Amino acid sequence: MSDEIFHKTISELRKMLDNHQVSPVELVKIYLNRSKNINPTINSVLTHTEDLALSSAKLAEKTINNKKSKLLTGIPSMVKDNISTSGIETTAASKILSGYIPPFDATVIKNLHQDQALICGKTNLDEFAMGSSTENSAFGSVKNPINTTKVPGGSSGGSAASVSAGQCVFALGSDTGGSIRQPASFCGITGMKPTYGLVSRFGLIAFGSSLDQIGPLAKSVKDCAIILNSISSVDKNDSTSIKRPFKDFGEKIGKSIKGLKIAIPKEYLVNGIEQGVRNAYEKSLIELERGGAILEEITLPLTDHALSVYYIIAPAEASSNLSRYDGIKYGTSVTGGKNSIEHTFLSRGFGFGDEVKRRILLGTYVLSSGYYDAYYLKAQKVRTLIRNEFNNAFKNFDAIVTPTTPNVAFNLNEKINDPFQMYLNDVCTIPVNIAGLPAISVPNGIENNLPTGLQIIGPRMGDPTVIQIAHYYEEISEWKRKIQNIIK
Amino acid sequence: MSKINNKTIKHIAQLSYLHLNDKEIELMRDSLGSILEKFQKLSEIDTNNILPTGHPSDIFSSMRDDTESDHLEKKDVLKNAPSSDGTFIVVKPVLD
Repeated sequence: MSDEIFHKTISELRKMLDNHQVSPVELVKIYLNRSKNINPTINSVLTHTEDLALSSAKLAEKTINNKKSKLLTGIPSMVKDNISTSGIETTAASKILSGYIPPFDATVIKNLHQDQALICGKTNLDEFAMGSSTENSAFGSVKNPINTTKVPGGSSGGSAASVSAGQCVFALGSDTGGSIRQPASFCGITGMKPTYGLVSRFGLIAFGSSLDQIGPLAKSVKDCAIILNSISSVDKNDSTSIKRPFKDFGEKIGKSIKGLKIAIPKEYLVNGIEQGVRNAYEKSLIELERGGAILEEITLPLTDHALSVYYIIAPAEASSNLSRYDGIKYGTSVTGGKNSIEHTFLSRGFGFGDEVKRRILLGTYVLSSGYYDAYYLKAQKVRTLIRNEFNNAFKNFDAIVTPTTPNVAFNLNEKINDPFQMYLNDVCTIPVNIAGLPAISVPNGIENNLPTGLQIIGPRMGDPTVIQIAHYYEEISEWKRKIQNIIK
Repeated sequence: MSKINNKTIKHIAQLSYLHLNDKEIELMRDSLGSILEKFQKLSEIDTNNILPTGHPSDIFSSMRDDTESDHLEKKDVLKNAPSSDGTFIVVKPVLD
């Protein structure tokens, strides 16, 4: 079978599987074989789950033979390694969880199993999803499959790289401040963060609980909708879980965008945006306008403050969430320490990497006596104002369109020693998490042989409209096909 | 707002149950100092009479019935403990 198969979407493979052109077992072997060949070069996968994938593929084969296949039956996928998989090591790319085997599946994994998707591996990430380049992994950096001297973005860099490189058809990631959309943009694929609450966080290793959301990284907008329909469910194990008010994430796919009102916030075009990214963005706006959308410039003056709000709230929540790693119940435990407390100090000091330590300290500081009001409470109040600013904009607009990132994929090691420079990567994606909104990144150009991304943001529960606009753009722009040509 | 020095870092590391060596203390002092400086701009925003947002959903935490439900098996949970004895996790002495 030619390399063509590795560019195929879920819908295309669905036809091939249902027409018996390929069986799930054959398909999973083809993908696993490619993945294992590529992995030593890009390091996107931490664990290949061959046994699980093959046993699921055999069951999928029966379902297909009985003509009862669902959209994901027999489709090879991968899952970010901060999502718990029963009986399969789940590390969050941290030394402190090395060897940890969850005794349960995350709700999204249960949902994927129910729909008979095949889980072929666990993907690499920035430790505990803290980073924008996947260089913070305790198990080595991931490289961008389009150009291996560049980063794949982060923190779902392993998921993005594995989809881009054809190691799987789709992958799950998590997005706390842009961790699905930014790597999707860097790797030339599509990634979506749904409205906060639509996908259960049960079994996702917690980072910033009020910001975290699981979502898909895939080869097309339609694929994202198919995956979201599977993973989104009301879950009694997640107290923030909400029932979706629409039936199908893809229900508006194919509808004209004529008359939709799209806002262009001018604040997203400042602060060192690369010229190539700006050009691609401006061309995208023209194409949306040609489709009949009504574009209007708006101002979101608090955008500049979103980064500070995020880097106070996310570390504060992380410092609390990560207090559970004590070297006692599970994970890495050092031998030293004369008593239990000292043992915990040493286990945590040994097990966490620099960026995780930095964020635990930052979070503890902003929550500590004397600083709580000035930092944490202040940030929570500005969070209210940022939400209000978005809510006001969505009174008059159906969507907001921005670049996904201010720059294309940068060199490995370029920003790793300057935390603040690294944080600036998320300047366009962070406001979305602060307000709990849905947003997608779709490829919208090639600059210096590297892909750029267009971000489409919707109001809460506006996921189908975001997908509608993204799908329209994907169809007319043909960047999906053009980017396939630069993927080696 | 106070300046971040080695003493501050040692204090918050203590609160965080985190052992840091001398090199790490210096690294964290420098990076935290410059990051916190960037946050100062937030103080320019007027937040009088604004309520804080802890969470972006419009819902309040949903509650489930207080009834018995499925739980994990002890033996499966204990498999991950670095040290266990029967149905217990073994820890170092808590009191010296």
